[in-house]
Amino acid sequence: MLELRHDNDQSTLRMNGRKLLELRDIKCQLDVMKNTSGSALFEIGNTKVVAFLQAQTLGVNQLNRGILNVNFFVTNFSAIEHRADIKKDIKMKEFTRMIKSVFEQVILLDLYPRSQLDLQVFVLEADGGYRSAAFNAVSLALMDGGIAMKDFVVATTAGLLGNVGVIDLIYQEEKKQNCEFVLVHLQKAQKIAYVNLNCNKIRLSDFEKLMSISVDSCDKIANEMKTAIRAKLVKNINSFYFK
Amino acid sequence: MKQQICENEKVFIVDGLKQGIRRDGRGNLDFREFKIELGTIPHAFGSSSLIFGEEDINIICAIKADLQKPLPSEPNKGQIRFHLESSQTGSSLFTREEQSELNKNRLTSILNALYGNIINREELKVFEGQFCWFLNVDILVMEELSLQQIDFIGLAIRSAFLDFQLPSVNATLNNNTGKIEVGLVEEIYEDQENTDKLETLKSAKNSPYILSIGFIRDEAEDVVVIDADDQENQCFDQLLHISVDNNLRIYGIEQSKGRSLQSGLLSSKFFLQGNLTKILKPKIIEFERISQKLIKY
Amino acid sequence: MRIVVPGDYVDEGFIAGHGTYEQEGKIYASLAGIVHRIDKVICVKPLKTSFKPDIGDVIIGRIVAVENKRWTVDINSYQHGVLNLTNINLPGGLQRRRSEEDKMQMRNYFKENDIISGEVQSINTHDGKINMQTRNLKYGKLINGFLIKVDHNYIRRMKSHILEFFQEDWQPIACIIGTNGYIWIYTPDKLTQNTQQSEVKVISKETRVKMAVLRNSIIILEKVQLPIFKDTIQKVLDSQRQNAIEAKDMLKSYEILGKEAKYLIESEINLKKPVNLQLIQTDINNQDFIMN
Repeated sequence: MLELRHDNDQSTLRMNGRKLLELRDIKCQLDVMKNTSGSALFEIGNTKVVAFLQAQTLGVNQLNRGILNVNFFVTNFSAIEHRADIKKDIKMKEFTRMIKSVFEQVILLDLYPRSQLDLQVFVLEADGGYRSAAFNAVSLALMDGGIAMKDFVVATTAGLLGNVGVIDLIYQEEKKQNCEFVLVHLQKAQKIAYVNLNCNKIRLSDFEKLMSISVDSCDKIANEMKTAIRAKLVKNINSFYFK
Repeated sequence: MKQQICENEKVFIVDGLKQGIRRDGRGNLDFREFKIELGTIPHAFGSSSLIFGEEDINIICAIKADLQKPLPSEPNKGQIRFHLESSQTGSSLFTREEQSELNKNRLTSILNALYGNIINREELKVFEGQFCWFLNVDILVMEELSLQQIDFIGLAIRSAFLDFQLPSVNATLNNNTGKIEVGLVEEIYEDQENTDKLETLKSAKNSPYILSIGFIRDEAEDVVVIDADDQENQCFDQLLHISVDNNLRIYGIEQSKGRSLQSGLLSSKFFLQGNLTKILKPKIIEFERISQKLIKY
Repeated sequence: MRIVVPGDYVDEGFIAGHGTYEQEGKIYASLAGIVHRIDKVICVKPLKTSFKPDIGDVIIGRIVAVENKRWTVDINSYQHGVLNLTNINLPGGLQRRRSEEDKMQMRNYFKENDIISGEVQSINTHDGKINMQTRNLKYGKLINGFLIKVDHNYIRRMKSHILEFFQEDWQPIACIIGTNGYIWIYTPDKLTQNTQQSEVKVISKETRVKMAVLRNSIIILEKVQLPIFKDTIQKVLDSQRQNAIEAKDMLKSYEILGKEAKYLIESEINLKKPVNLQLIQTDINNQDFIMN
């Protein structure tokens, strides 16, 4: 199967007919589970990540600042290739630490003294870009749970197919490409919270291209997330009146 | 977030059960509403998703298959392993990690005991003594694990097996190496590319259900409850999990004690009077009806 | 009425209230929610909050621990509540100093896992400790009923949190709506308004069916996301009687049963403020929604 093909209009298309900078369908759902302080499901294409937040003050933490705990779990059935075993290895632990450190910077932890925020992140289906989807799911779950943050966190994945920069890779593209780029962006401050690049060798100019297409992609994803949040708030406008 | 209830609450629940009416209006033998969907995880060999209860608790089950050498003691059978995962969101002081681990271990051992032969494992044979299918059944429960979920976990697993399709394989002898090699059988369709030939398991349609029955001792007649929730579970003197199929054949019985102090003893009168059949039969018929609707699609 | 997400610029020249923070003189949102301005303070109200008690709130809790001269109570909030020995009403309504004997016999009053009703007495400013009291004869240990939990966001602060239903029947049933989301459904004593009862009653099957109907009505209100108070519960009960739906089938038909209650709330909103609800429903994609 060719990675890129040309359609009638002479514009380049990818495997499933997407354009180079086109995102897959995004679906965001807030408050997907009861008995949690906040929860969210983030879907992009077939990649599904769900995040649960539990906020509690049980006296374990005696500091004047809240503590954030993250537990990141890739389920066994999320992998496309059933033979590949998802190991809970160093890479996963490292990624868990990354999620924690990004959100520790953004959440106003001083407002939650003696409290503990426990985050559980589950990858239900991994069809490319599950790491950026995890960041987005956590961001939505924190907003659903009413946790104060300085900024709006959005993440996206990008890559190079040959020499061409593309956004939002699916699993098969991730396998064939020679570059995987994850960017976590803070929308208000227009700053980068986390960046990760896995590649053989790429030119600096290609890297800069990846940066710029990723920032644009983050804007698009942020809009999708905001639409979902607004829809949820509007739907529950009734209970709002009686606070 | 499971909590212990006090004596007064137990008295209220037990009196209600003795009169045959529960706190949400159900009778003692009524099951809660549930919905099953097949094929939730497209790239697994079989999968299902089940939603039950008022809080819409979600259980996802997916089955993966690997070719492996069969156990020496069972050269013509495949193997099945169950793995449970839960989203631990319990935050009350009563819920500690240890309790969750205990529940996970208990549930997994019940599954291995009652569902070890959920399907005829000889259907998983590829080449006697050399190759067989090794099935890994992964179950994710979007809620803290507890014993009363076992019935629904069983339904999810069973439904995943209804959805389950194994690729057909050919075993050939490689003359050069002298070893047996397996390859997938492909079916060629006219206008599509080659696809693997897939087969459903014949024994999946008759696979058993898991039913949990709670017992409360009473002088006159033991009170029997099906599909209990956490608070009712704390009032039981005894809790039995029975694996039974649509021909009313029992594949196994496991016993979990209730949490009351005088638990353990069951009156044999209940079993000798054929009450178990009276209770199980209508439930099985109900479940079979729901299962039939699933396969039809 | 503006909907914001964290990081959105809100305004300047005001005081940054709850849900906002200030940076270089400008106020930004820190929560996803709706902007409110009260005098000089701007705040953002999120959709979901954990229960924050106010002084005077009627709450229902479960005793977690019996400690030295006090009980720790789970009240579904960011912290457990504290009930001091001096803040309970002693049996017989006596008013006296608590003695050493009382201290030793605390479990005679409330044991672990008991359910109690009470009021929030005070909240310590420096560590947020929530102090409860059950001094009023209305409050105390709850029996002859069962507990349900709902999302506390659907519960308003009302004049009376003890509601009675099926009053025309021989045995009415009642519920105590705790502001913290815990609701206790029980069979009240006919003559008093005291929630604390001393005798365990024999409750008939018909009464239990009514309790199940009341329980399911409250759960349905939560499911269709409507506030839970006397009128809405009554609407659902009336719908159930009209449509002759059995108790155990109520949850399946939650939409039908919740319809009347929904109309009630919508008309209440239209009366309170001249808001065009239609405008809000369709214009989801706009940045701002302006309300009269």
